[in-house]
Amino acid sequence: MVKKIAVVAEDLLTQAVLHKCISEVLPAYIVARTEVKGGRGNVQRELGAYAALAQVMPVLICVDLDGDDCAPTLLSGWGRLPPQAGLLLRVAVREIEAWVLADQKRVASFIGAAPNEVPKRPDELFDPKRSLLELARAHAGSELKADLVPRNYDASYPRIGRAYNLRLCAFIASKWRPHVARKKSASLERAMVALEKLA
Amino acid sequence: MKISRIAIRNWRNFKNADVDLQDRTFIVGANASGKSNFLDIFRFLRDIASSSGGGLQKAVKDRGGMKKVRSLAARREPNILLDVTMTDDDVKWRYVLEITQESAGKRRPLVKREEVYKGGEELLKRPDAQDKADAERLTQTSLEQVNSNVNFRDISEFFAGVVYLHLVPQLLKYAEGIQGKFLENDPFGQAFLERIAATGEKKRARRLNRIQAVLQKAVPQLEELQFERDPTNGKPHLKAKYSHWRVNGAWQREDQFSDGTLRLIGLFWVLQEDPGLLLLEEPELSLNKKIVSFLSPFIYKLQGKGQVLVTTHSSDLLSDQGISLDEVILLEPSQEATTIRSADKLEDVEQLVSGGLGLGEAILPHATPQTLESLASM
Repeated sequence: MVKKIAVVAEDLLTQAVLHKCISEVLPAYIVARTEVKGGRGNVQRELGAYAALAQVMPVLICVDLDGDDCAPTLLSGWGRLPPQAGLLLRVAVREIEAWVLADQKRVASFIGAAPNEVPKRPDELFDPKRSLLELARAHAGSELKADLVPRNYDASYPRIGRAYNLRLCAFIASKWRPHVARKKSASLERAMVALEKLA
Repeated sequence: MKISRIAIRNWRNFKNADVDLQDRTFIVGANASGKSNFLDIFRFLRDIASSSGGGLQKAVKDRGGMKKVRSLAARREPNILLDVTMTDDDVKWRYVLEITQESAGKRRPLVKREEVYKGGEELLKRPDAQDKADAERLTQTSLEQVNSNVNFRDISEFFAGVVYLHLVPQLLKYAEGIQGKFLENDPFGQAFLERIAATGEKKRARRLNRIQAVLQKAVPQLEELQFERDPTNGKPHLKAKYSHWRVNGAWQREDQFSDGTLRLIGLFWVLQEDPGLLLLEEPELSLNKKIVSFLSPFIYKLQGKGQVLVTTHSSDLLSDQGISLDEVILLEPSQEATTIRSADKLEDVEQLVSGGLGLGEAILPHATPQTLESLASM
């Protein structure tokens, strides 16, 4: 019998990553609904609704840690979380790009860099998106570089290039391997373990 | 070639505006702020330069005459001025057209001033001695004349190649029932199928294949998209195969496609035509949120070397974090006329996006009339 799961992601790239993890760990599940919330605040505000949804199907939620100290501190700031078994609230340390980088080999071949150029402990990166962009700036071919890296690299906005989401979501769907990446990122490992419990 | 800047005086609701344009530019503004009027400037230049003829006189007449195209706010300086700067690799072009109206008689539009510069060098300056000798010449621009535009044929061809598509699915679906008049340049996609039919077979197949790849992801159950001619009357059609309840799937023709499917096909087709300048009106219409959130990178990837101007009301479309602030321009109506500003000149928007708010959420409140609250009292 097909089981259902719901996905709530902070942005498009996170959504692509969560879908890939589910397809790898939970082959018996279909994603019954999936949404991109455009920021952590929106996720936090709607948590009550997801808790209600979790009574009928598991809900996988993922947000970035960003500048906060650690996931428990971040979540404690969200007040008392609804105690609901099916509500899987995961935090990517510090950003979803850390999980992406954690599949070193595939990221290296996607960008065109040597595997040892890819950061080895992505969860320790202060700004994983910047690290990914640095990698692309140094090694990517001209088309990919133009797609990923913003024209004005030092401006505060935009932080990503014009086809960043398009190219990375495609990479995640076709090449990225959760079972490899989980070995390099503790926050991804915890998320995968939580998912496996649903199997 | 790309339009890097345009200065406008007295064009419809723009009394005086001046704005930089990027390779990809999103135009936002409240209803009736003049987004379509802004795009119409480029359609107007196309109509003047277009090889099908008619030039300035027809371009103005098709728009209902001078009193329709001239800003209502134009009083002291009643002429229309379009001052367009273009760049072609490193070469900078500038085309200036000032239009006035005959003071008596037929009240025809007349060229008051027409200038072309290439890299600072003046290639044309009218009125010239010949114009003074024969005032009738001023009813035509040099842009529309093969004999006089030889030195700046590049910009004439660039304007003539402007493409505007605002596909209205119903016009296509009910084409036979409507039996309507086909507008020149087919702005609303009535003759969209003819356009596909007129494309060479290989090119057509390649483009439809790419569109099919997008549709397979975007439209549930859609498996295949094909072009065919009706065996009885030779009319062109699109057909799509859906993996429905029938074992071998069911083929449907375009009149059964959803509005969103047709709009998506139109959008992706026209992007692949690779025009020098493409004008898109609210591409988000009838499309679901997720597709819309990928439209801006799709446009960027498919636009090739061409330039694209897009009007939009969609926060989802503008949510892509790869859009630079200078790629968005805001039209703001006021008592007198509409002003145009680029989003990098709006300090609140700049602060909000650096603070993590999506660009759409940051700028669209500027495109909401403040009087809207009083609607509730209706």
